[in-house]
Amino acid sequence: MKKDRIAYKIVYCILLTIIVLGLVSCAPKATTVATEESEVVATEAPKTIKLGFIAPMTGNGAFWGIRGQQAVQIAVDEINAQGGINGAMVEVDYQDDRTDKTEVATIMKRFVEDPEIIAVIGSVMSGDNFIGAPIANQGGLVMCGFATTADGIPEIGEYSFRVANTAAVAIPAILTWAKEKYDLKKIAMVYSLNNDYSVAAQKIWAEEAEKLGIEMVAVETYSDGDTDFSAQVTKIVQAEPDAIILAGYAAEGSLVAIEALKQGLTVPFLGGDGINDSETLHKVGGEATNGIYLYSSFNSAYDAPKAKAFTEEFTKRYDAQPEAAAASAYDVAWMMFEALKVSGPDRAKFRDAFAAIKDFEGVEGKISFDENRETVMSTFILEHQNGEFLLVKVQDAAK
Amino acid sequence: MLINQIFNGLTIGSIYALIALGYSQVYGILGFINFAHGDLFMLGAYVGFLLVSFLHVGLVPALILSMLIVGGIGVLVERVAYRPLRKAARLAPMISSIGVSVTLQTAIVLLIGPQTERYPLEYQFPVLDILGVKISALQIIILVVAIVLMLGLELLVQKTRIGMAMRATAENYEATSLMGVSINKVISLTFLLGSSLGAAAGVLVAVYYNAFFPYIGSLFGIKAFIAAVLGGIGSVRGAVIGGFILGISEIFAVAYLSSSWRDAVAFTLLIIILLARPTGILGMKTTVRA
Repeated sequence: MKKDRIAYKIVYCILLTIIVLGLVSCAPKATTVATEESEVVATEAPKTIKLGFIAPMTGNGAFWGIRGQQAVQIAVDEINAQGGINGAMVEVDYQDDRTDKTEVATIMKRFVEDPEIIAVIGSVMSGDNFIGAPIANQGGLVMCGFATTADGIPEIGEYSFRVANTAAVAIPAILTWAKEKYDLKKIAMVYSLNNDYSVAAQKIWAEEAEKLGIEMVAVETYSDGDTDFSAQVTKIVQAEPDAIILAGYAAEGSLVAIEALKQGLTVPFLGGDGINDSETLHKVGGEATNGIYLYSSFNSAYDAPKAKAFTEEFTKRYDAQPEAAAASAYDVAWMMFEALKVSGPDRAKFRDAFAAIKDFEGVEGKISFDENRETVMSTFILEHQNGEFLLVKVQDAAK
Repeated sequence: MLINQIFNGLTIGSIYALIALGYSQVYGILGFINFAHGDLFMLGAYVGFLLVSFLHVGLVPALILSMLIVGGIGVLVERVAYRPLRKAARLAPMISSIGVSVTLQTAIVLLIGPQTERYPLEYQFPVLDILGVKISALQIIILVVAIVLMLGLELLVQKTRIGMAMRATAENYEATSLMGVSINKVISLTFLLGSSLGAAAGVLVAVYYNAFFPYIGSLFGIKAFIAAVLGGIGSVRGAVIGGFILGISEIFAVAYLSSSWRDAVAFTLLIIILLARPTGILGMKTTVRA
């Protein structure tokens, strides 16, 4: 990647020299050509446009951070190959925050103080945005997380954004889909009492089910680390639901699925991003977890032209399938490029252009920001089979 | 529904009972609580898992081999960690057993990893329909295996000479020794029996929930310990009754109250029974030994 950047710089310098030399030598002879080319030189005042990138690239969450960095680099190479943004080449300053709060603060302060940085992509960990976005917001610098689903990120301030398939968008989408497919009338749910994510998620599931007119016939609870789910599943069996919602994490969700199979219950399971862990589902649940449906913001099997091209390029470069973090980072990068084309390299103007993005065609489908800078995007419905997620449907946002 | 829940309770209760027997036996004879017992139970699950996954033995041979191997490890643990401390202060072997517990857990984490494992079982146990009540065949198998093992232990303790030696040792350690009974052999046998019953529970739990992890021993260990105290520590029948009471009351708490009541019910029950009968349900009056 570094070599690429140096190569671009060299090519760019040579081109610039030729233009300047041409101008100097041609100026007295052909004035018509000169005026055209001098304009080009004038609009090219900023030779590069710099963006910041912050995410863990070592330690906790490094997998997602590195995926994001790789995807952003693809986007940068693409825009520069197309001639950059209004002629200016895009450059990204990649910083590793190690999911360390003090590191996040240090990096974000540095970005804010560097006038060349127009906007920041990152992080992929919601917790990092809760530390970094207030600093960016105060400095008037856009910070846009990718695949950061926690509640409250846009609420940090006018300059805090994220592109992520939040539960508030995804849960209605998967429930609407399942209601149609399975004619859901009665539904049961299990969630963990001592898991913040699960407690928050179950509320949204319950509200959305009610809105869709699906009756919640059983809500059973457990604690993370429990192994015995026999009593809960026996109660669910009695309630005869058409489907079961797993509102917790993959390990316990798998055990519930095993217990349901043991008790002869064969209804479909629906889950959220908490069970988006194919390794655990397969390892703990075995065949019991095959056929569990869940939502995500991306799947590499998506064959829309843009997504297909991205998946091919990503696989070619990095020998790995892109997933939600990579796809979101790629979309954030391109959304920023589009906004920069309109606004030019000015932080405040850029913010307004970025916030105004509607129906951006990304690899994750159509993406918009609503009036509160919250993401409105498609939901990918996936099915788990033997440690793999298969794409079932791309469900458009309800709004 | 009610009958189903009772069966769920009996299944988990029989597992508690099997583990509780190990606590009870060791306490009865040596007068200390073997905190490593829960981890021998965990070891049982892992030994069975290794046998099934890598040596491809069937479930029944895996259960028996796991009982023998972990029984042997139990005897070894007593030799290495408890016997040298037998003359030391009462607290010493207890602390030593905490050390053994940590060692066993860490060893499994290092050798196999901290992740949840499962048995590679291809077949599904059928769900039986008995007079309209749907019960998993696996639950019945677990109940039968547990009851057979417990009856076996009861017979051994009550009807054989070596059982008599065990009872005598529990009654009075020094006097039995003076009668010419080899105390070391009796203690080794106690650890062999207790550990192998724990190992059997480990294999059963691993098959029943199809999931186990290195720290599962502390979870089940503490529950089984409650069951042992509930029934009267030192008593075989007490441990069994304690296990079943605990299992059923836990399941009822989850079924009719909420899962958060599970542990609260277990401990409340313990307090109530200890207030009413300080020695547990079938506990003998403790003779204070010097």
